[in-house]
Formats: sequence, C-alpha cells, structure tokens
Amino acid sequence: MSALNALIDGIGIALSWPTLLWLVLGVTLGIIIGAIPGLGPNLGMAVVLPLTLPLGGTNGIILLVGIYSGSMYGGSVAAILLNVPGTAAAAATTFDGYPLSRQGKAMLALSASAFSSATAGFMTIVALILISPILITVVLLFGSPEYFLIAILGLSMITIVAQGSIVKGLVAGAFGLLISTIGVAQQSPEVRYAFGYVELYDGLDFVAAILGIFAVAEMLKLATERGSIAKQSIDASGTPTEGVRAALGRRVLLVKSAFIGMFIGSIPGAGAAVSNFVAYSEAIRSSKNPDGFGSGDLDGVIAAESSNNGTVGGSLIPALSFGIPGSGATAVLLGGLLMHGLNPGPELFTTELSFTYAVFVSLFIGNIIILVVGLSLITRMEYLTRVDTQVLIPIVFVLAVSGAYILRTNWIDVLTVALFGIIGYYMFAHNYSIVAFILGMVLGDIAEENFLRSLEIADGSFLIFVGSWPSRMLVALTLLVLAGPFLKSALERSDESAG
Amino acid sequence: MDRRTYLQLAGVGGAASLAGCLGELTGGGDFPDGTITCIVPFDEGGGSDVIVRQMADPLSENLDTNIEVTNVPGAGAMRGIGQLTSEDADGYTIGKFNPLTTSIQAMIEPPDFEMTDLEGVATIGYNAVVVVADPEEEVEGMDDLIGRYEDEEFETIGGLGVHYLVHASFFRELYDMPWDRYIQYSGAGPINEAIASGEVPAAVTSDAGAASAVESGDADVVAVLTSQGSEVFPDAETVVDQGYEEIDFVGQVTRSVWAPHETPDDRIEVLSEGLQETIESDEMQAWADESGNPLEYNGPDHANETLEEIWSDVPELVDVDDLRDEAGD
Repeated sequence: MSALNALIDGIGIALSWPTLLWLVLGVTLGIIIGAIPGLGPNLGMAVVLPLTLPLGGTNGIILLVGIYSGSMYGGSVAAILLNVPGTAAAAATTFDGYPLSRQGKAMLALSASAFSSATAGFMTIVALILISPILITVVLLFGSPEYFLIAILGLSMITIVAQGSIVKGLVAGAFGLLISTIGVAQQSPEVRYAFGYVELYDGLDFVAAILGIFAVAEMLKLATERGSIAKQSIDASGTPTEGVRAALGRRVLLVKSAFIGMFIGSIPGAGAAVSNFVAYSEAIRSSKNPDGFGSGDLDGVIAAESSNNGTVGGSLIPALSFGIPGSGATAVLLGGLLMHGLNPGPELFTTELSFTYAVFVSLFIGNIIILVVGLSLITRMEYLTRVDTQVLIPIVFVLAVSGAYILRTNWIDVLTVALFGIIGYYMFAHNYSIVAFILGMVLGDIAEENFLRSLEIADGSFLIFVGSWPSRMLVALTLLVLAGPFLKSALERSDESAG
Repeated sequence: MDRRTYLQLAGVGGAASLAGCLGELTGGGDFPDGTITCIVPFDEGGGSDVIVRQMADPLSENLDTNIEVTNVPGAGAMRGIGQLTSEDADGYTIGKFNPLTTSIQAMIEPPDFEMTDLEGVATIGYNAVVVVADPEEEVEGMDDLIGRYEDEEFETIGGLGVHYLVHASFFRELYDMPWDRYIQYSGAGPINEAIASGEVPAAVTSDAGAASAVESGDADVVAVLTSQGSEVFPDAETVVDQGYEEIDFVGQVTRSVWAPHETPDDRIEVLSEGLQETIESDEMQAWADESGNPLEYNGPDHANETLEEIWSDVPELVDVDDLRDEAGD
C-alpha cells in the first residue's frame, strides 16, 4: 500500500464513527486530567488502559493519545491561573503565565496558550506524517553518544537562562544535577545517597519537585498577601481573540518552539518536561527584551505551550518505531499497543501504516478540539484568579500533596513536595534560576546513562562523541551556545569601535 | 440497657468475635469476602501491569470479589515486593512478578527481606529469553556467534539492565563466549534500536520484546535460551538444539503470582484455582494469542520450585560479587 493510500485510509478511520467520539472524549478527559495538579497523563491513561479493551485496537489507542494530547494543553490551565503546573510539561508556562494572571490578564494568557498549543500540534503532526517514510532511518542516526550530546546541549542552555548572576545559574544547575544522582546509579548497581531507604532507590521524583517548587512555594508567598491572585487594583482585561492575535503575531517563535518540542520529544527519556524549558530558554536567547521574561511576557507562555504540544508528535517517533518510551505517558501508550496486540516497531510504518496514520490524523483533529474547548470554555476559568487566597491556598496544598502521593504511592514524594516548596521559595527570593535547576535535575540521568554506555561501547575512547555527523553537529551547536554570550559582546564591541 | 440485655448482647458479640478469630486462624470458610489487592512492582503500562489489569475483571468474577491493582514501582521491583512481604499473610494481598529478574536484582543489591520466603500462588505463563544479532552481521547460530567473539570481531554484548548480565556471564562460563564488555540498556525497545543501528552486534532480550524487530528484519534470532522453545519464535532453534548445555532456569521469564510468607495453604489454593479458571478461560486465551503474551497455568509448587532453583543454581554458577563488579565497570 502506498503512503498516500494509507493516509487516505487513516483519515477515513479517524473520521469514522465511533472513533471520532472516543477522540473527543479522550481529548476532553485529557484537558481535565492535565488541569488537575499531580494527576497528569500517565495516571489518567493508566486508569483508562484496561477500559479500552472492548473498544478494539484503533479506538482504544486513539482514546489514549487523545488523553495524552489534551493533558499537554490542560496542564497550562492551573499553571497560568495558580502557578501550579498541572503537568511537568507546563512548568515553564508558570514563569510568565502566572504573572499575567497577577496582572489581570489571565484571559489573554489562556487563549494564547490554547491557540499556540493547538497550532503547534497541527504543525508537528503534519511534519510527522511527511517524514514518516524516512522516520526509521532518522531514528537510527541517534544512538547513545548522540543522546548524551543532546543532554549536554540542554545543560548548556543554563548559560542562557541564568539571568542576572551566571554563578547563581550554575549553582542552581549543579544542584539539579546532584539531586539527579540520588538512587541507584544509571549503569551500575551502586546506590547513592539513599541512606538505606528503598523508597529513595529511584531518586526523587521530578514531578514532585516541580509541585513543590511552583505550587507550594507560590502558596507560601501568597500566604503573606491578602485578597486574590489577580491584584484587585487591576481590572480584568482581554478577550480570547486578543490571545489568538497575539500568538499569530509571534509566528516565528511559535513555529520554532513547536519544532524544538518535537525534536526533544523524540529523545528517549526527555519528553515535554524538558522541551518546555529548552523552548523557553531559546525564547529568552532570541528575544530583544530578555529581561522582560519572568514578569509576564506572553512570549514565554507561547514558547512553553507550543513546545509541549509539539512534543506529543515527537515522542511518538521512538515509541512507535522501536517501542522506546520517551516519557511516562508514552510508556503507558506502549502498554496499550501491546495490550491490543499491536507491536510497536518498524512494521507500524510499513504494513500497519494505515493505523499509524489514523493515530496521527486523530491527533490533528484532537488539536481542533483543544482550540475550541480552550478558547470557549477554559478562558472562563479566569474566575479562579479572583477567588480569595484564603480559600485557594488550602485547596492547592491538598492537590499538591495528594498529587505527589499518587505519583508512585511513595511517601518520599510527599516529603519532596514539602522540601522543595521551601527550597523553591528561597530560590525565587534570592534569584536562583529555577530553569537551570530543572534542566540539571531532568537531564542529569539522561546524560549519565548515555555517557557511561557510550564509553563502554567505545572501550573508554572519547572519540565516540565526534564519531558521526549528528554528534559533530551537536558538539558544534553546544560550543556555539556556550560561546554565544562572548561572541555577542565581541561583535557589539567591534560594532562600537567601527562606529 | 438493663444488665440482662447487656449480658445477652455481650455474649452474642463475644461469640461472634470468637467465631471471627477462629475463622482467621483456620483460614476461614468464606475466603475471600473482601477486596484482594494485587501489587504490581512495576510502572503502569509495563508488561506485568498490562497482564494483571487484563486478568483483574475475570479473576474478580471467578473469586466473587473485587481485585484492586496497585502499582508500587521502584528499586528494580524491590519496593513493591518488600511491601508484599510486609502485608498480612491472609490472602488478601498478592503480587505479580517474574522470579528471575527480581531475584537477580535482589542478589546484586540485597533488600531487607528474603525473596525465598514468598509463597507461590501460581505461574501463569512464560516468555523465553533469546539471543538476537544485527542482521547485517549474518550470524549463523551460537557457534558462529562465539567464533566472532573469539576472533575479536565482536567485543560487546547488550542486554536488559543488570538482569541479563547473568545470561551473558553463563555464556562466558558455560559456552566459552569471550565477550569483552556487557552494555546495559533500559528496556527491550532500546535494545532493538541498538541492534538495528549496529551499536551492539548481539544482545540478550526477551522473545516478546524482540518480536517487532525480528518481524521487520531489524534483528535475527540466534538462539532461544530455554529448551522449551519460544512461542513467539516457534521455528527458532534453542541452545540445546544447537548442542549447548541446558540453562532453563534462567532461559525463561516465568510470569508468577505470589503471596506473603505463611499465607494459609487453603487460601493459596482458592486463589490458585481462581487464577487457573481465569488463565484457561477462552477470553484470556484469545487475548494471549492476540497480544503475544502466552498464558499457561501451573500451580503453587511450580512457582516455588522455580524460585528455589534460581536461588540455588545462579549463585552456584556465577559469583555474585563478580557480577556486581562487572555491572559496575
């Protein structure tokens, strides 16, 4: 069957009844699950997993990817309104989304988020369909050394995001890296910093840390204030169309962030938790007004939100082509594929192409649902920013703590929320970069695992890291990011002396 | 309430409590009369989780009670298994995991409980462990593969975490395969990719995990490690077929259900019968065929024997300290 015939078949399947119904249900459920802090797509999809059995393979998988896609957008709602990222994918959305809410511009942030999420979803799915014939070849270009270098490229972004003091940025990043070393080492059975507690063998959970740093720290800060999140002296402003127009005016940023999301999503282990920070960092790097980030720059919301929905398409690449989960959500999706007797592997891009295209087309349609629900219903939740903080604070605390517990039913996660709530409070107060810390914490494991494996493969030779053209390209890109600030100032100096 | 009524009620209450206690001590006639929790010591969506969630509904019907699935992942399954060992031995908590990889994990990083204290409830199926190779290398059976390592054409061998290092070590000890470096991967998917891209020339993996790569021509099966053969690759030769020593006790991953130490035998029997009915039902067998997860019931004795064999034979053939050092290299 040719790719075109498979695509036509796929469109037919995606638009057929009741497939469309399951998709609408999945996306709507995903938005709700994503909006509730701590729930996230992993748990939501796992709960639904056995229920998909009577639906059959195609409908069951479409329901699951609907939840996955919807939750990526849903995570932004609480991030913008309450500084509580519903999912790790929306953590960077808080940086500017929440300040916008504080300024009474929640409607603007929510509508821009819905529009950028959906548009990024459209673009990356189309790109995925276009590259699917050569997808396996592309995936095979990336092995352990390349994954290590991508993690290093992500870590080098710390130099960009450490606004103000570079030393504080590096300290925050190093702290994140150290936290990532807790638990059983990546490539040996050595246990580090677990102090005999089995609960610490898998390290601290990244989502629990995020819930602490954002939700609890912000609630501690709010507890010192009276009134509501949106300062009462400011009138509510903005309409959903304003957000759409604002996002349309930032087309380059939107497209760039969407594809950063797609690229990072395709790296096993990274996922949307990393992509939203990298896209946010890149938005700061390329901005004419980098100092405005963190205090309500809409660019920050658009970058983070377009990247996390772009990640969905990207994460399907390793998941479908080789059964490699890029994130917890894709791990559950893989479970769903296996449960329905669909083996993830290159066959999904040859004999099973119609099914694969049906999933892609469903994701495309899912983004229309995100757009409609996002602009028409979610923007009305702006009301939450006008609720008295005395009511909000206990609710958010309960959500953060219970959300952390249900992550792995591990009490360490609840302690993590409390600990990082306090750490986050002081990091904000003393201007230590949260982005740098999170990049360190998430990328530490990926870097360590792939670094050690690469050296083992090459019998200790570091030349493996420049052994292929993708790795050489990644090394050059990392050097460019690291040297960027120096090159920029050197160029400015030469301009001045020439002028 | 007058004194007479009080005494009557106390008498009735006391008798009821005593009956309850006796019921507890003797294993109880109405078991199960409450929710049974099944601990899965792995993440949602993993192989074990998918099977347990699939079994939960029919098993609930067969045992006429509710089955609740709880994922307690972490520490290479040790956290979930640890929780199972600390639960009351009343039959209301069971766990599902294979005894091979979890035992190897416990040998390398000993937990604060004894794996061998667990009571087997049933084994519900198995997956064969296989050796796969990069098709571009055109490896023709174990003799050829060993020859390539002897000639130093191949140096590395891949496998899942530290668990399949045991198999690689057996190859070195029993089959004289002089591989130089064992490369750990975190799952069957990454192993398939590593084989397809040529990052490692050969790897030890499960038959279900390798199925998609073999079907698409991205990996070749060199040998099946259990003499029972593989249901996924029925035509593939086993190591015994190729003239090598039988290593069945590590050649297959036996999917098993366990209960805490000293769970009464009659309750284990009830649970085991419920599992048998579930596993042998048309519904589950159809699913097993469709999803490539072969399901076959065997009783508690089989589960206990499998576990004991692993704990007696693996340390005998491989020095666990060496294994730990090798994994840490």
